[in-house]
Amino acid sequence: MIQISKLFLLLPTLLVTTLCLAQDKKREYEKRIARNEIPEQVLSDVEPLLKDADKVRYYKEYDGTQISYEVKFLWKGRPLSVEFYEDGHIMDIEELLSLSDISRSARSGITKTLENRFSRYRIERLQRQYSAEEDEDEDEDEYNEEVIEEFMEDDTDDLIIRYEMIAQLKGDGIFGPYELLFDKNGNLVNQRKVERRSADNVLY
Amino acid sequence: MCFTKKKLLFALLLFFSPLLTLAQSPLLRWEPDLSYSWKPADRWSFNTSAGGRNTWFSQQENGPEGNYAWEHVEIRLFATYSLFGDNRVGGGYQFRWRDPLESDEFGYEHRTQQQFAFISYTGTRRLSHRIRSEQRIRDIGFIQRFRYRLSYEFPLTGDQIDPGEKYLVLSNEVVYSISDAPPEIDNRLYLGLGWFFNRQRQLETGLQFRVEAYNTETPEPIFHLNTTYFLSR
Repeated sequence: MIQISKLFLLLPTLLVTTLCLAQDKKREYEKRIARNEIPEQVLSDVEPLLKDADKVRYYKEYDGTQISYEVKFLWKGRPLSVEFYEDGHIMDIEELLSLSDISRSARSGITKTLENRFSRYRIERLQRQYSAEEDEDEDEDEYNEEVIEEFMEDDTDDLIIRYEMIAQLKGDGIFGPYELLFDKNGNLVNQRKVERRSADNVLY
Repeated sequence: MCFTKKKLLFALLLFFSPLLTLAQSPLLRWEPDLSYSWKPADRWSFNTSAGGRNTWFSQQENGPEGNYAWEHVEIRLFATYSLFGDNRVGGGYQFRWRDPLESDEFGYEHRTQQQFAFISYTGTRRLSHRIRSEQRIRDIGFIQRFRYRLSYEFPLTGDQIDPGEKYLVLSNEVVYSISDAPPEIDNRLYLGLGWFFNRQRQLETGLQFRVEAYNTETPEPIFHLNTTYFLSR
């Protein structure tokens, strides 16, 4: 019996070493919080959007390097999230949509990039991001106000538009779920692997 | 998902209610397990695990040895190959020692397994399907089994399961067994609570309500308490 016990304990620890591939990975931790845990300034900045909002939820996020606050809601039926840095500076406004909802030029650019670069792809999630160039003379409140106002007025000429996508990819030396960032013309700006929780508990 | 305490209590009561009708042995089985996985490449992952089964009988059916038995210990090795889009195929081998403490009744079982699994995400929640075929080669006979399990996991707080958070998993599995005897169908309903400590460590414990051979005249209801510690790198 002692031999069996030893085997029982040793086997899981004796098996094979791992080859780790160094790559940029997406690891975000998100926790839902109460409205009163959101900084006052963030609430007052996002207030114009919340007047016409439903299903408002508040989150605190940590992406491995920095803390941020996020407010998610339905604005006139559009699923939006507004994210702020810990200091109250707006990071971006994100809108959840599908590929068919975006402009023809962006859609064709993104599709072309995906088709040229990967042998297979499947889009799981797509968001349009709105942010603005930071002006050194502009204070934080003005900057936040400008981004939100221009978004609400659909005056996007001065806003930076990007598309963030989670997609299953194959080809170009990669495989699995990735987060891709495209500029408004559909050019790939950044990519990082999405690391998901282990599925061992449902596989074995 | 915001689960109110009342809803959770109701769900638990509903789940445990079959216990009230359980009047025969064995009453409860506890299966602790240690699982370790590693991923040497994007497409390949391996898992090994070891565990055992402890059984408590409600009546003195275990004779003079009392109402407790250590029924078996087992070790497993599984290889999984990822296909495009969260589909996975795999195969494994398991060896089980039955009645390890009984020198005169010691038995064994070799088990080979083939599996196809696919996972889909509804938002950040996970719906997993597992289809498995397995061959149980035992000293007392051979059984071919076909299994299908559907699992749904969701966080207890927030919209996604982040490190340090707890989650619930609800699953049901149907097992169809073919052997020399008439085919038998088992059903396994499971409610588990998990602690996702970090990407390397996770603990899950839950109660499984099994009805074995429910297509026969003598179905056997059994409660399994499963506890698994998952390590991965």
